[in-house]
Amino acid sequence: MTPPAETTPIELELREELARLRALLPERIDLDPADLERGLAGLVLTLVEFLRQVLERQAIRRMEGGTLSDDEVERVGLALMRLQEKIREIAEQFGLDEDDIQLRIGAAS
Amino acid sequence: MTLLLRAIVAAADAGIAADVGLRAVSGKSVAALASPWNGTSAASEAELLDHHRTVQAVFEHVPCLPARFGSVFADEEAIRARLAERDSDFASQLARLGHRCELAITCAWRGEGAIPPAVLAPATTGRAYLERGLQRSRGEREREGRAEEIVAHLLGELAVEPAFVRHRTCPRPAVAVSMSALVTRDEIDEITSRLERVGAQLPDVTIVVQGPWAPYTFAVSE
Repeated sequence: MTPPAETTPIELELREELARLRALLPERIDLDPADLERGLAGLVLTLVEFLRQVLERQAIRRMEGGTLSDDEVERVGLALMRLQEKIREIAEQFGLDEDDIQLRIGAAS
Repeated sequence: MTLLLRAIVAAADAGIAADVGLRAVSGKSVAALASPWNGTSAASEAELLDHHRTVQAVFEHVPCLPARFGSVFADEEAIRARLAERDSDFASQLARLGHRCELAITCAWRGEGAIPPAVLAPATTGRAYLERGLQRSRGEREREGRAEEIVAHLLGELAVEPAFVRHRTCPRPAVAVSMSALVTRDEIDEITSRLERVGAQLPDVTIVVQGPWAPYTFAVSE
């Protein structure tokens, strides 16, 4: 039998992020027909924003460690920035406050 | 009608229920204090405050384990079954925690310590965006490190058994440390004035002490 490989810092970090993600998901979804779309949009946007933050932290760490080229820094930064703008835009369309999404993520930290 | 659990007390103290308008369901060594609950109503802020006041009224009279708001049981029989399952655990928690009070100690950042997201100019390039994130991340790490120093300072001053203290560093942007400490009633004044002295020595945080409360953070009554 192959012995279990040693857990790398990246794996540990991913496990922590997954635990946070688990805490973000509600135990049940309130299916109030009047507010269904808004509720689901809030949940989906929270998940997307959470993943965006995970990717941003990874990118920052790699930039700090010098393992991203100038071109990669620009491309990754731009993609993350535009994704953040898009999340804000969609949140606004559903009448959601960006703070609500951040608070939900903060509460799971 | 369903019942909302308010607190667990020693079976010998079950008589307190009548004084605070609750119903007592007795087990072997402990009793549950509960009140009728309309299962369909959503929990409002007023109901949460009422729960806190009810628990506090019990706690002022007898040692208790406060229930987290929302512990609802179908009927007295369901509570009795839970008590039977957890009797020795509840009794040992009551002996360990019931006579202690919880103090909530919050260290809020003053001025420079707080994160000022609004002052950061919006990024116009991908690099600027990530550099702004890097700057924020470094600030967070510095604050985290400082918060850990404050925790060490507070723990030294409190000199409370480690099992009776819990804390979180930087739980919110404005807060450096959120700590809960279990103390006996006769220690409250001394500890509060010690914390005031510590607060005067720390230039970057303001210390706020709240309580005494029932031991919410430490009791497991569910």
